[in-house]
Amino acid sequence: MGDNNGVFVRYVSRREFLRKLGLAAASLPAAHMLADHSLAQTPEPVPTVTPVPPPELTAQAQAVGGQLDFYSWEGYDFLDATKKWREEHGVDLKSAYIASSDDTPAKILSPAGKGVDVITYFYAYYQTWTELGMFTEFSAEEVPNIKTMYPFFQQGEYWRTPRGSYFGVPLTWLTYVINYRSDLIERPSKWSDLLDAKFKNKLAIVEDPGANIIVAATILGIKTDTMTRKELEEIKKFLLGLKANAKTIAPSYGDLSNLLVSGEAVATFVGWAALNVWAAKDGVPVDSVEPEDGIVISIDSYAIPPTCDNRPTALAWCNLMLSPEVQLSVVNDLLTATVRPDVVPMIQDEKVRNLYAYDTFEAFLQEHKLNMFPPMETTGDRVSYADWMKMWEEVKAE
Amino acid sequence: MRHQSGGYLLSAPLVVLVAGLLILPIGTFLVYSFLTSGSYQIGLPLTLGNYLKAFTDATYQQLILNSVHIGVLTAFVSSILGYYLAYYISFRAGRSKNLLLALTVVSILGGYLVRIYAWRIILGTSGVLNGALINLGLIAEPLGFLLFSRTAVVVALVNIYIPFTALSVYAALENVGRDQIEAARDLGAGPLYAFWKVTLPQTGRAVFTGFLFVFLLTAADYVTPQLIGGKTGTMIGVVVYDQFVRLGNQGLGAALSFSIVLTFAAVLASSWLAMRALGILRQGV
Repeated sequence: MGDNNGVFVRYVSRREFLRKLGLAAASLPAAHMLADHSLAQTPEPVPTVTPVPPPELTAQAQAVGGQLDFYSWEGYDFLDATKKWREEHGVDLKSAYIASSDDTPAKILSPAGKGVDVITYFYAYYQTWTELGMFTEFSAEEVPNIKTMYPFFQQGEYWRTPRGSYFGVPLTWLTYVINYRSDLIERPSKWSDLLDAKFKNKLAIVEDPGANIIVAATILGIKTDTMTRKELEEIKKFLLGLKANAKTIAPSYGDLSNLLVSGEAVATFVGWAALNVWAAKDGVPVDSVEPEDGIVISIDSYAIPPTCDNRPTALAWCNLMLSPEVQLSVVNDLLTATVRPDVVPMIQDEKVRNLYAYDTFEAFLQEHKLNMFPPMETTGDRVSYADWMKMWEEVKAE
Repeated sequence: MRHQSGGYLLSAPLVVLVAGLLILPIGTFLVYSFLTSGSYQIGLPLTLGNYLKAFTDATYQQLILNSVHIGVLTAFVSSILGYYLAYYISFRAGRSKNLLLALTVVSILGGYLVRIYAWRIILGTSGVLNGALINLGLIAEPLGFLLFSRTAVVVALVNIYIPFTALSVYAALENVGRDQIEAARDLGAGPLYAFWKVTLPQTGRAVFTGFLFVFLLTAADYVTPQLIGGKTGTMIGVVVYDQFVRLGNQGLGAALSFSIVLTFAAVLASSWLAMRALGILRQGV
C-alpha cells in the first residue's frame, strides 16, 4: 500500500484523543460551511490510515468484553459460531446490516458512525477507503490467527502496509461465475457466450455495478484502476449487449437464485457458486462455470474503523473470524471459501469443498494482480468511481 | 392577550415538531443542493452546477420520465378502479357495505414486499396466470411479457394502492346528498349525466387527493420496479440513493431530489388543471 509511505505517525494518549475528538465535534458545523473553501482547491495529502495507541498500552489497559458494534453484511456476524465466545467474554454484539458496501463509508464518515467497532470491505475498495480514512492499523501480534492464513492473504497489499502492520483481516473469498440451469441449456464456457442471441430474454444481470464492471473489464483486457473514458465506453457497449439479452436486473444475488429456480432466467451475469447449492435445496439443477475469458476473484475482509471505541474486543473479534469454527461456518453457511488452508480438509461436504479451486487459486493470485476500483475523483482522461456509477446508471436507463 | 399567549403556548409543540422534522431537514437539503460536494465531503463554494446537471443530464431526465410515467399511470388506474369500488360500496353494497369496507381496510395491512412477490408468482412464466391460460387451452407457450415489464409494475402497484383511493372517495361519496341525485333524475337526467353533473363534482377533491397520494408514493418508489419491472425498472430514486450512498455526492443528490419535487409538482398542477377543465373539480376548488 504505497500510499502509506511517509505518513507521519504520532501516537496520542487516550485523554488527548478524546479531547481532540470533542474539539472536532464542536467545530463540525462550522467546518462544514467553512473548511471546504474547499473542493475546488488542491486537497492536502490525506493520512491514509489512522494511527492508534500502541498495542501494549491498549491490551493492558482494557480487556475483551462489553459492547461491540458491528456494521456489515447480514450473516457476517456468525451468530451461532460466535455465541460461545460472546458468552465467555461478556461481549454484547450489536449488529446493524448493510444493503451494499457503499453504505459503510456513508455511515462511518457521518456522525451516525460514532462507536462502530468493526466493518468489512471488498478488497477493491481498499485504496479509496484508505484515502477516505476508513481504517486503523494493528499488528500481526494483535490478531495472532493472521499467520494461519494462506501466504497471499498474509502478505497482500490489500490488508497489509509496507511497514508490516495490518489494516484488514481477510475473512473469505470467492470467484465470480456464470450460474446456469444445467437442465435447460448447455454449459457456457465464456462470459462472451452470454451475448449470443440464444440467451435473448433468458439472462439475469445482478445489480452489483462494481463486480459487473470489473468482470467486463477483465473480459475486455482493460486495467480497472487506470481506465480511460474510451475504455469505459467499451465496457458500456459490452454491458448494453448483455442487457439486450437480459430479462431483468436482479437487485441481489438471492433474487438471482430465485430467477434461476423459477426458470425466468437460465444464466447469470455475474454469479456466485453458492447459488448452485441454494437451487439444489429447491430441487433445481443449477451449475456454475469459471469462464475462461475472465477469472475474477472477490475477497471480503474485516477492518477496524477510526470510530471504534472498543478496540480490544474488535481485535479479538477479527482474530475470532479466522478461527477454524468461524471459517467452517464461512464455508458451510455462506458457501464462500476459507482463507485458511488447514480448514479445507475439515470441510465434510464434498460438494461444498469442490465449489472453489483451493489448490490453484493462490497460484492465480500470485500471477495476476487483483483489479482495483478507480479513485473517487480524477482529472483528465482517467475515469473515476463516480464515472463508473454514472455509466451503470446509463446502462440501466437505456 | 392572555388568551392569545395561551394559544401560542399550546401550538408550540406542533411548531417545534414541524420545524424539527420537516422544515429543518428540507432546509438542510436545500442548502446542500447549492454546495460543492464529492467523496463524502460537502462545503463551499456555492454552486448551481448540481441543478444544471440534474436538469440537463439525459440519463437523469430519462429516469425522471420513467418515474413520472409509472406514477401517473398507476395513479390514474387506481383512481378509476378505486372510484368504482367506493361507488359500489357506498351505493350498491347494501348490507355487505361494512364487510366490504372492512376488507378494503384490512387489505392495506398486507405486507408490501409479500404482495410484490405474490405478483411474481402470479405473473411469472410458470406462474398462476400462465398456468391457467395453458390449462384452458388459450395459449400453447407461457406469455413471457407478463412479468418484468412496466405493465407488471403498474398492476402490482394498483393492487397495493387501490384501497387508498377507494377510501378517500368513499368518504366523499357518503356526503353526496342522495336527494340531489334523485332531483337530477326527476328533472330528466340519465344516470350517467346525473353522475357527471352531481356526484362526480362533489367527489372531485377526494379523487384528486387519492390521485396525488398514489402518484407521489408510486413515482418515488424504486423497490417495486426493481423487483418486477425488468430492464425498464430503473427509477430516479435509485440515482438519488447512488449519489448519497455510493458516491457521497450529497449536493447532486439533494439537487436531484428537488428537481424531482419540482417535476412532481408540475405533474400534479397539470392534473389539477385537467380535472378542472373536465369539470371533475369545481370552480374555486
